[in-house]
This record gives sequence, C-alpha cells and structure tokens, in this order.
Amino acid sequence: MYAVMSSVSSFGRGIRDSLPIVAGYLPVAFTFGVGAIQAGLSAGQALMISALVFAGASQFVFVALVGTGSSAWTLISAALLMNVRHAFYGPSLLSYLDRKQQRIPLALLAFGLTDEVFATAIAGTAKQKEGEMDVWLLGLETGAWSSWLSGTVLGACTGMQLLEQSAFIRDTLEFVLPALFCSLLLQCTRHGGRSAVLFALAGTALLGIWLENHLALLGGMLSGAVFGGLPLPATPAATEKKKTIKKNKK
Amino acid sequence: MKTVELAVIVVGVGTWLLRFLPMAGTRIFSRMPEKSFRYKMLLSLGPAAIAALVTVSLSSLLKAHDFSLLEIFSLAAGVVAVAAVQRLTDNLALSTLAPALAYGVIHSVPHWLG
Repeated sequence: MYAVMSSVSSFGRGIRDSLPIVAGYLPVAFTFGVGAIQAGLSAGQALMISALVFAGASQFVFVALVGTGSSAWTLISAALLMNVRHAFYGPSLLSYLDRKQQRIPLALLAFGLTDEVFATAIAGTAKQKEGEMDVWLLGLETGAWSSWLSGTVLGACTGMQLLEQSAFIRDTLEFVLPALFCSLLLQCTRHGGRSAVLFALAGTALLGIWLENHLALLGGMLSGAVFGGLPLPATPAATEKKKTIKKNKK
Repeated sequence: MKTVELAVIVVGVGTWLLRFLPMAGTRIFSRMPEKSFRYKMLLSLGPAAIAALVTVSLSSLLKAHDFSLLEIFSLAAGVVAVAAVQRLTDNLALSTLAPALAYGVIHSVPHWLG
C-alpha cells in the first residue's frame, strides 16, 4: 500500500514539475498547429504528428516540407536526421535511474524523452527520492505530452485568428522556449559540469556559422560532452584543498 | 493510407527507436567505473545538450530578426531577466514566463510608440 501511495505521489510531483515545460510547450505546439494548417494539413493530421512524433523542431520541418510538396523519403529522412540527438539522451539519463527498483518499462519512458523533458529531468534528479525517479519521469513526460497535444489542437483550430490579431502575443511566445532552456541551464550548472557547458556553448555557436541548426546542436552537444569527460588539470585552489584534507586526516 | 500519414508513422516509430534502442543497449553503463572517460562523458551530455539548445534557440531568434539592435537588446534583457528571476524566486515556471513577457514588451514598444 505504501509503495502505491509513494508512486502516486512521485507521479503527481512529475506532473507538477512539468508545469514549466507545459508553459513552454503550449505556445510552441500552438504555433505548430497553426503552421500545419497553413501547410495544408488537417487538424487531425496535425494532432497525429504531435501524438506520434512528439519532437518539436522536426515536426516544424516536417510540415514545412509537406507545404513544399516534398516526397515521403525527404520528409522521413529530414525529420529523423533532426532527431538523431535524442539517441544520446537515454544512456545519459540511465545513469540517474535505479535499474533494480525500476517499475516503468524503458520503452515507455523512451517515448517522451524530448529535449525539454531530458533537460528538466537532468536538472531535477537531485531532488528525487531513491527508486522513485522512473515514476517521477513518467509524470513529467505525461504532463509534457498532454500539453503538446492540447497546444496543437488549440493552434490548429483557433490559432490563425489569434496570432494575426496580436503582435505582442506572437513576440512573447517566441521567447518562452529560450527562456526555459536558460533557466534549466542555470539550474543544472549548480551541480557542476561547467566545462561541458562552456565547450557546448562555444562549439554550437561556432558550428552554427557553417552548419544547419540541428547539426550545430548535435556537434556542440557532443563536443561539450567529450570535454566534460576529460580529466581537467586541478586548479591551485583545489590542490590546496586536497592538501588540507590530507593534513587533517593525518 | 495517404503518403503523409504513412510518413508520420515511420517518423514516429523511427524517433521512438532513436530514443529507446540506445537506452536498451546501455546495460554496460552500470558496470562503468565512475572515473572513466565514458561515464563522465555521458554525465556531461545533459548539461552540454541544454547549453547547445540555449545557443541554437537564441541564435535562431537573432537570425530570424536579421541581427537587429532591438533583437539583441531584447534577447540580452530576456537572458538577464531569467537570471534575476531565478535568483530571486528559484521557480522554473516564473523564471521562464516573466522574461518571456519582458521580451514581448520590449519588442512591442516600437510598435506601440508608432
């Protein structure tokens, strides 16, 4: 009984912790819904894309290509190429999951592993109880997915009129996701990983000069991770601290 | 079934496999020594991915607005607002929505002034 209550509570916390993602997803999914209708798709098709693919940037590329009359092969290869980066999220997240106490199948957890869910999960792992991370993650993903679907439906059904009427709303919505990413970055650098962050920021910016955004993102992310994995030379302050600890032990 | 629906299903299954297969195949992760390069690299992947997303999302806005001074100022104000609100409240929702509102206001001032 206690285990069930604890799981329900963790799932609820996951839903609650998904609120910043919901705030970011609603406007973006709304814009996606509008874009899908503009590209000539029906509201049902827009909802189908959001429900099955659940990967923001590639969905925008998909509808843009549909709008230009591209072949199915082009649609599939472009969208999948953009989502290649997701392959790296799972292994990284596994380091935080307690595999022995895990109750939610990996196949289900993998479905909702978007950029924002992954970033929020990484930033929020420190606050989770031992063995409850998977249920919390499922709550996080459920909140995110539901808002993505709701935003898509709203955008596809009512979006065109609203965005045409208010430039202020359009401008405000533009900065929601960058603000969410900045907030998450500030939260997760509290627990270290600053060298990885610096290299990823610089790497992505440099690669972005020559490459498409999704390729720069992949390259920047990997360069940051590689540099984060390298043993860094100890700073004088760190060396001094080690010496003091050794002295105190003696 | 139409081509679009078929493509959506293939992309949906493909994206899920991209997320799931590396997870399912990473049982060796639990056996990795904590000081190893691979272990530290995988741990660094999270912060690195968020940093890369920050860069791409900000640069996309800059490009979309042709690197205008108003855009540079709005983005700088938005990022400063994120840091300030997060420092004051430590609330992820507030530090996401308040700066977005600030960005929208700054962006709209020239329109409002005519």
